[in-house]
Amino acid sequence: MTPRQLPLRNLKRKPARTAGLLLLVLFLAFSLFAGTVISMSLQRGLGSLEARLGADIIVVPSSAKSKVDLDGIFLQGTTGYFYMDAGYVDKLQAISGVEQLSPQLFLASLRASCCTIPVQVIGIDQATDFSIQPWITKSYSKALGDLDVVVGCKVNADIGESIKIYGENCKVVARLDATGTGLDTAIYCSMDSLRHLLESARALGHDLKISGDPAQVISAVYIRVGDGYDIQKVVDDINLHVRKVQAVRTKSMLTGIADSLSGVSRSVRLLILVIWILCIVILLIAFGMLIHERKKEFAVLRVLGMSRAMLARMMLSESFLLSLMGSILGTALAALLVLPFSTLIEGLLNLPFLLPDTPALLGIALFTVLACLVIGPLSSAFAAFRLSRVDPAAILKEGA
Amino acid sequence: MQLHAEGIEKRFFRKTGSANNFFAVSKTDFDLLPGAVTVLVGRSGSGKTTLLQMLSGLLSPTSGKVFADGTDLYSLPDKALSRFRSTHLAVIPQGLSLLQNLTVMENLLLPGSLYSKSPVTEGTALEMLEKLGIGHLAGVYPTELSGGESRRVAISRALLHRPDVLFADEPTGDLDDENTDLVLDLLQAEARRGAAVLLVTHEAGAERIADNVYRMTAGKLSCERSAHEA
Ligand SMILES: Nc1ncnc2c1ncn2[C@@H]1O[C@H](COP(=O)(O)OP(=O)(O)O)[C@@H](O)[C@H]1O
Ligand SMILES: [Mg+2]
Repeated sequence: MTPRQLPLRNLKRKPARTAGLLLLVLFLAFSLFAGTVISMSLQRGLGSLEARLGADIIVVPSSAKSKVDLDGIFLQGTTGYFYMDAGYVDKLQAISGVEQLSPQLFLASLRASCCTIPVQVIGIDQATDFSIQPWITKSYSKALGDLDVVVGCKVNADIGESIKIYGENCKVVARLDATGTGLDTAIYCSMDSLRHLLESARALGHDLKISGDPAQVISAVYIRVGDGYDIQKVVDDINLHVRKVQAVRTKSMLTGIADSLSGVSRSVRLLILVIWILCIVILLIAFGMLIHERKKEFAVLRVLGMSRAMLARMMLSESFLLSLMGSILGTALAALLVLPFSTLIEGLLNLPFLLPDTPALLGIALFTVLACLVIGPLSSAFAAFRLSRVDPAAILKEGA
Repeated sequence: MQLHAEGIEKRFFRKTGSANNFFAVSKTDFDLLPGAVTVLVGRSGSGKTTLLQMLSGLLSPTSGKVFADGTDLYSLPDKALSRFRSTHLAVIPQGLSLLQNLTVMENLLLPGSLYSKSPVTEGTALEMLEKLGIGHLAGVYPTELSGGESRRVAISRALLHRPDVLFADEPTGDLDDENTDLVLDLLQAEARRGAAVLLVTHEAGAERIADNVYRMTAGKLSCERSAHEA
């Protein structure tokens, strides 16, 4: 038995006390890691959502606004469809300030072979699209052929496989990176493919409530406003001059999310703070109570020849070991709960959620462990000081 | 090693009658000679433990100095004093003094591992335990020991490292006659080997191994019998 082995032995021989202190450090690590990851993921989710939308304005038929949840369709990937005449593209083009515009066509699949839940199928006009294709070209650089589809990362289909939509075999040619939004559950194809699918759906007897020529409909128009133009003014112009459509500013769709996101972030940070203050106070009290409980033990060590420095070092080593074990356990537990269940958390918070990449996660884990390795021994510092100065003469008397 | 105390006294703060402090040990000189057993007797509360702690480097005197072979103990910084105590002195405290987290064997071995001394082997430690009739308890934790057994472990621990000066504060208080004799013999053997031994005791039988006998009366030390006078 050497003084180096003492800290671990002391921890082992007092399992209840050790477990209690370990649990406190575990809470510290858990809350810091889980909280940081969650709030970073929300931030990244919003960033990716902004980038993914790519448009300043989205125009939909004015009837759509009352029928379906637009935020849901564009941000959260809920399914929905509505149609207007393709001729609106030209009318919108005429509005001053509109620099780029591209129509999209929606179809909500009821049963696709890939998916247990309905999937939003989105047809893009490859000649004009600027919002989706930049993402697709990351994984697929060729033009989309007839019935070729690109799937969001959460659609359960591999490249090369076929998925059946309204009886048609669609070939998966690419998968998109995760965005942390509902768009991850969507399927993309060319405008022509989508018209093909529309026909098939109608042939199967589904009433899509298309008024006019099905070959001439679109669902939404994505607009990018030229530099120097006021986006709000363009929105107002469209709503004023183009009848039967509704222009929506994407930013206003996102502000709702951004607001609740910063609210959640703030709550998470507040929660971390509260847990930390609470845990540190309890740690301080716990170590403070140790002073009394362990006076005798330290006095004996002193009589046996250990110096004050050795005693202080022993106490600090104990809290260091506790903090090391507690923080690794807490971080691991938080990782185990947060990482695999990110989808669930996204659903619970109803906010876009995009986990940081592996190096960033490792960085947060390291930071968490380091923070605990500082806080743990620091909260035992007073106890270490007092115990190292215990007076052996006053304690080692008869009966004591 | 010769231990020499010069004019040491210890004052404690405590309300006693009109005064609010009193001398647990009044100013005194004291010598502990190598090769001799010095016995200190006196009523409970007379200041024996206080004197022993001042001599063993555990309690700094209110005034006066303690020299070990010429080194002023209390002028040393904590680290040096601790090392000195660990290397040259051993104390059998009056109260219970086993480390609860260590087995009997580990309790014995720990002091030897503190500073890079030549460590004591388990074999030697076991022999020491066997001398005191507790060899079978080597692997046991102190919570499972009786008072007498704990006491004997503490005695073994102090003897094992062959100190130059051995302090024993009522080491036989909770031992039966047979074990008391055994312990007294062992203390005498320590002195024979050249150690200076200070034995605080009520035990009448201790007279038989005593080279010098001192009496403490309300903090005042008096010599009852000295080897030089005999
Ligand atoms: N730390 C202390 N503070 C105040 N008084 C003390 C302290 N330690 C001992 N005393 C008092 O000093 C006197 C001598 O104590 P002690 O040396 O333990 O006596 P003995 O060992 O002879 O029984 C007693 O009256 C005791 O109450
Ligand atoms: Mg005493």
